[in-house]
Amino acid sequence: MERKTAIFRKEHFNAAHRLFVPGWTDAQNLEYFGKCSNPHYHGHNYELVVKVTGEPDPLTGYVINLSTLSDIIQKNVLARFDHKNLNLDTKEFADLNPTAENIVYVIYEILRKELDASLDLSVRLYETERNFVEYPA
Amino acid sequence: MPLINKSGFGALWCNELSSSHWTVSLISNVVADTRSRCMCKYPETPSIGTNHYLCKNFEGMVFLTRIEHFNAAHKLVNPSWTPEKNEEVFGLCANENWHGHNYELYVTIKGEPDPDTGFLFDVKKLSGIINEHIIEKLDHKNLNVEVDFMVGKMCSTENLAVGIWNQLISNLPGGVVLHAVKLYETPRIFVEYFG
Repeated sequence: MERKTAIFRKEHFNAAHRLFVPGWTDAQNLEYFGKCSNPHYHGHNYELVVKVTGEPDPLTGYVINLSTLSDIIQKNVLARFDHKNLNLDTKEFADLNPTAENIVYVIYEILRKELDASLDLSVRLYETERNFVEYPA
Repeated sequence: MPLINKSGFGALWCNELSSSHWTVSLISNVVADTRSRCMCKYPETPSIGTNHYLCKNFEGMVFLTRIEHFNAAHKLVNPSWTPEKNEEVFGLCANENWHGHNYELYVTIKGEPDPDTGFLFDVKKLSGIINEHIIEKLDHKNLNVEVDFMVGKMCSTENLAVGIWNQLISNLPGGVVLHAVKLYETPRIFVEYFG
């Protein structure tokens, strides 16, 4: 009997960033990105929700061991991004604008490689309480 | 509900009251909450956290809180220390390239409502003052390099709360009594300052 089940793990990280297009002037960036283009950076408490979907193992009852999932997120996502400047300290965003849309995609790609192909993955990222993104849509 | 403290029971009661207070705050953004019957049986007990409300005689008083928020970058670095010592003391927070937070700011004033308006103070005016003198200076800014009232200070949440208090004291009209500045750096870390 198929009983696909979704299991979620919440994590968080704090980071600084700045939104800008390098080819644009400061005035253009300010006009488009507003305060988010501040050259001195600003920051957020990012809340990350990782959703893994699959069949519970008949023997253990687990879709995935949450402790294992937490370790994967810790080692591959939080260690890279927590208390970092996303623009300056990470290779992922050296040439990619660290919008919430791009961050969630990068995190998805990182985690996808770490999880068994039989498991479905979805990632939700809160930049603020009211602004959040999800990938895949 | 009993007010007598028996082996910490009063503290539990205080926590229950204050947590319900803040729950309401989150829903309505503005809270007026009477504490007229709250008399702490142990006035010498040091006030801890939001129990402060209940450990003084605030008979007849109303507390009004306005919640605002801002997002900012900062780092914790003592410029007179070596990078090694800064990292040892401040850990990840010492990252030279900054990190950042979504700060939540609770500003509480206290007093008795005006008999004509029923207001302690017009909350729209309170919000305007907070926005003009605090939020515009802090939101989407780098706290270490762009904020005039934090220049030369360590950008800890403690110092930021004190700085915000001082800004408010200088800009609130006479007769408006500031009670508390409560500042969340993360959902699990906050400081309170009572002047």
